[in-house]
Amino acid sequence: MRRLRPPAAALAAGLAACLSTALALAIGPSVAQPYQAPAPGQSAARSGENYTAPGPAAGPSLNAASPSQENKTMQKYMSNTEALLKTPVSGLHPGGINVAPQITNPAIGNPIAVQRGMQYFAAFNCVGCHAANGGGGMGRALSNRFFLYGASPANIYITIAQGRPNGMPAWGSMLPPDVIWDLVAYIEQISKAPVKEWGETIAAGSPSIQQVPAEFKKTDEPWSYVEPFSKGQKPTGPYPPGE
Amino acid sequence: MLATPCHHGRPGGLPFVLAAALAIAAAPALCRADTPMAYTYGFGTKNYPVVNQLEGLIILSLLVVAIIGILVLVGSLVRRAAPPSGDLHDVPLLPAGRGLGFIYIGTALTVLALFGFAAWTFATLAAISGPKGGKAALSIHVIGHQWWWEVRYLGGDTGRTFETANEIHIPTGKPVRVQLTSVDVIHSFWVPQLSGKMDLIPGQQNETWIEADRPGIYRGQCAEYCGLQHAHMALVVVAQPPQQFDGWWAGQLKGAPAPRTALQAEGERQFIVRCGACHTVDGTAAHGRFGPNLSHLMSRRTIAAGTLPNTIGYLSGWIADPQHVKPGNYMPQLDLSGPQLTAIRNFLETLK
Amino acid sequence: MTVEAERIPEVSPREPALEAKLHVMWESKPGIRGWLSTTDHKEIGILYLVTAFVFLVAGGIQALIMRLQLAGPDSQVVNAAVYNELFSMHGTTMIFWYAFPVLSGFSNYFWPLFLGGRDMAFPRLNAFSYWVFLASGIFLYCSFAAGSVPNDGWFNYPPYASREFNPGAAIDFYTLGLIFFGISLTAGGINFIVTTLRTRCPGMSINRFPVVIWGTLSANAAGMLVVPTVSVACFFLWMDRNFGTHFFNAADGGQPLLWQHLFWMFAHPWVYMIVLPAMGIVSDALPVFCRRPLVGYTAVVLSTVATQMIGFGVWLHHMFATGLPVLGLSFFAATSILITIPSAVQVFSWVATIWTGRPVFTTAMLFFTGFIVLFVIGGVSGFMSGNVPVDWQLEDTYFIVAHIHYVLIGINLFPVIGAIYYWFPKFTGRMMDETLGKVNFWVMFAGFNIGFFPMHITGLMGMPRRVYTYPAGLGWHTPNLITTIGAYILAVGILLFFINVVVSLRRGAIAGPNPWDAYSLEWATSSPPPPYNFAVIPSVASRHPLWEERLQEGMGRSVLDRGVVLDHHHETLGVDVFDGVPDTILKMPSESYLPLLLTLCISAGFAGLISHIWGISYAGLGIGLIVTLIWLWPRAEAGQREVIHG
Repeated sequence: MRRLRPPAAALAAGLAACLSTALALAIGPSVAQPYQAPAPGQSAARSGENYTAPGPAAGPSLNAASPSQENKTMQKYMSNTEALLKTPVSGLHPGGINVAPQITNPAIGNPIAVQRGMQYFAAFNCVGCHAANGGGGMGRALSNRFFLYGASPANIYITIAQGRPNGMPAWGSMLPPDVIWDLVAYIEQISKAPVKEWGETIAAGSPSIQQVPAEFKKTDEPWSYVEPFSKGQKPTGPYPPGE
Repeated sequence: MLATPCHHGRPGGLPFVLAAALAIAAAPALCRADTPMAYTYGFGTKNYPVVNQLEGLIILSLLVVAIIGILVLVGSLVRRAAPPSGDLHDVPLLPAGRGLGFIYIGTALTVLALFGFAAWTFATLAAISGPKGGKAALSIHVIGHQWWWEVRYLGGDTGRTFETANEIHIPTGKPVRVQLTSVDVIHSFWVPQLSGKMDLIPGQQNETWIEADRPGIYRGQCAEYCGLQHAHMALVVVAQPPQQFDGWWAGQLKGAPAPRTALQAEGERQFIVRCGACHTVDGTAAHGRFGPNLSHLMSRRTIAAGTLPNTIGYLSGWIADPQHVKPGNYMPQLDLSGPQLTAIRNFLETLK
Repeated sequence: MTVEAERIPEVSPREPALEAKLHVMWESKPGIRGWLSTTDHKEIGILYLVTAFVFLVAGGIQALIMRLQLAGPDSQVVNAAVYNELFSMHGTTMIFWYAFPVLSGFSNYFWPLFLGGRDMAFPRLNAFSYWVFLASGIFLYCSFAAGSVPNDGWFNYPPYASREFNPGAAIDFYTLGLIFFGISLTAGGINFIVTTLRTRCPGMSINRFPVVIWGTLSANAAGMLVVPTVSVACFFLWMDRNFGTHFFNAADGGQPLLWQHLFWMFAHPWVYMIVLPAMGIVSDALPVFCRRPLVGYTAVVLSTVATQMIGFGVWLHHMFATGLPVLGLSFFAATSILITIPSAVQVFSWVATIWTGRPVFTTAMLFFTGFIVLFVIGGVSGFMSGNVPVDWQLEDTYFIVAHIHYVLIGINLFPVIGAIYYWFPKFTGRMMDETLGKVNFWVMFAGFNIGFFPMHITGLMGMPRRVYTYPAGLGWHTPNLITTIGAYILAVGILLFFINVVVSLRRGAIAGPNPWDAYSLEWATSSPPPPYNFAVIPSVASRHPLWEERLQEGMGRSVLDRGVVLDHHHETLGVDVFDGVPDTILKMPSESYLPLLLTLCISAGFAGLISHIWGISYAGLGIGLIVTLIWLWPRAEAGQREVIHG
């Protein structure tokens, strides 16, 4: 929940600032600062649902991406793909020098991407194996920080795109890259250690924290609410789980 | 269609002129063929009493506005004092005491009218609360999604059940029960010329009914703000004679036909791979549940929940860039190549 | 305030020496320091008015952008996301941050002047309620700076408002902003109620109150009852969004409809709260220009109170289509129809006042007369939508948009601007320009009707509200284009009003104490009133103190030039609740920075809550407690502590 720092800074300054500044911003929505940096991996049209569209498109016509923008998006994907292929799964590097390319999730920090990822996670039946909120079942738990095939965003991307032995299907030909990145954003979110603990409700009988059955609760922060979570493994728990 | 209001230089004149202009000019305009969402006229036993009452209310309202408007206007002109100096000190005061008659008579008349209309309201409410005889010929489930309508027809047995989206067919002259719920946020089901609104609320099943007494295509639209693309969440209700309707139902139960050309076969393959995660086409391996069921796409009149007409051109454009006309909807940009798009389109064209 | 025992105040005529002494005692500090520390209800009233008008302009600009977008089908002036933010902020700004505060502005300025007191009962609380109003408005508008603007309309229904569908801080700005604003409403409401009950001049019994006092009193009493509802609802939603509670989350056993009940239980009374004081203004000012007392004062007052009371029992008519049982719908349809009756009483009272009076058409009178007609149009369309089966069609269409604008612009904005024309001489000592005023009225009136009357037709054509665009071919284009043109004409009218204010401030003709030959107590003092309002506390014997001589009204006569002298410190008279018989001398605090300081602490608290940097909230809370302690610390000059003479 630390992701809300920008408004905090704006507020602290804003309350001291005079009303006219805010009004000026109100007059021209195109002047408003984007809440988060626009996700480079997303097409401009896609970010129409973001609060503010990325700079050049923030004018009167936000809907259509110009052809040149589309080309840029494609180029980004292409170079991304090449870099993705060089992302190591293993921790061993020849010569001991890690030359893994730095790939960040283009949807990083975009709350709407996380929310979309959550919807996809349920809709594509990821929950069928990984359980609600990535609690783990037939498929591995995604709610902890231990990823067999690497925990970097690029690793998770490749895992989804290429599939893995023993049951993980390859989604790469099915899902466009920005959908996979949304899924990665969601998975990263649910595998984060909690920044706080907060019970759902107090059970009538005992002062212990009552939990909501995992299958009823879609959330991007399973660990913030329930303790212990019915299924799933704590991000901070022992590894391998159970030991 | 509205008379341009003009300055009369007198208080109260303008609204009266406007109201009269509305009564004369707007009434026929509201019944024109190019206003498919107008509910000043309607069809079916559910809507007739409502249209009547709406008319009654409009007449009463115009009457009240006219009476008060004339009272204010005439009162202002007849009793007007214009102090030559413009100073109110020069106008002598009048004592209190007169004028209570206005309140007595006015309030009495108001109360009479109100009671009359309250009774009419309760009568209308009773008349439309359910179909005559209490039995609906048919039940359909309408499930709201951000920004489209899932429609399930419940036959007597599972073999007669099927799913479609954004287009509801009903037989004419038969009341149809509509059960409403939502999987995400609150929407509202509204087909103005057949029925008033009923909300689709997650965790709750609401019910309404519709009945069309003549064949036709009735447009509807989501009437509760449901997020970014609330503006593009329409549906159509197609009322058909019962025989035609039965034929349509039988057609909807069929799966996708086997591909006849190589291109169609390639299209089916591409569809399953690229679209099957979200869409279902019965009789193929595409079983996605996230987007609308496309089993009989080509039999529908519109795509993208009433946003675009369902023609080959619009359909191709929509698949190529679904974010252009309906930015923010959940259908992603697929980055399909030209041949892929052609193949998928060829396959979709077989889904009659 | 506290009671000083055993002092019999002297009675004397109004004298220049006394006025000079009081002036020194009551005057605020000069310059900006004076504005920041003022507890003078008149200065606070002006601050309220100016701030509310700034919000009106902000909301108006948002509306104009939206009208541009809706002028034609499939237009792309703004995209869906921006449009949704605009209509949400437009509604929220106008209904919460403009419509009620502007009336509080008038009430603040005139409350003690109407009642013959020196200041509000709690002057520092009064300043506090203003500062919190301003700070909460800035807080809400910081959402633009933060880039996450509330986008779920002014009624903010979950589940779309829940975090699952609306991530980011947008809705938190709305919920916290409304809770923040509620503090201002509560502080202001308590002040109005206690002031009315306790600090009036002798003889000001409740049957002599101006109608606006009744309107504002009903509104604020209702506010005390319903503001907690919305604050709690907002708190629930904030908890849902930030801490995973599930008040409104159906999947976890919550109930999305709970929000609608809680919200409308607040918001329907609220709609009456923002019109009743304005209707009161008309009931008070219309007689001045019709040159006779109001017809049926008692009936009008009872209707005012009755409207507010029945207003508690109609909230479900916003929820007719949510699948509630028919019996419940019938009950609420009945109450919604019933509430028309008290409004009818008032309309006929105004009509009768015009018919049996001798109306003089000044600009203010034009606005009030126009208001009557707009009120009736807004009233009948409201009555139409109280009829359940018809409402199932009308609801959430532009018909309702037309209705709410006839109600809020017709019954709030028109009387408010009329009231400025009426009271401008009292505020500033100068008259507003009548010629420009009449042009201003006709442009506004024409623009408003051209803009909003066709909305009824757009609604009957089935255009739903809150759509950022609409396709061609549904017949909605023409009325929408007319509406856009009308909206811009209305904007020009409002611009003319501002021009008139600015011009008249400098060049207006000098007004005497009572330029309209009006009857109520505020016209008995100079224009603008001195900081102490009345040199000697007047005593009144009728409803029309300045007219009673000519009307031969009542038994005794009001005494305005001779009365109780209260010149020891900031003091006013405390009276018996019903009859206005004085029983105490109330000591009042003088100007202070504490209200502003406490507001800053609360602002910090809310800044911490929105940003999840709890440290800021804790700091705000801690310092706020210290400020409160200083605020409440007994002070010698107020007689709360014995003075030790050294």
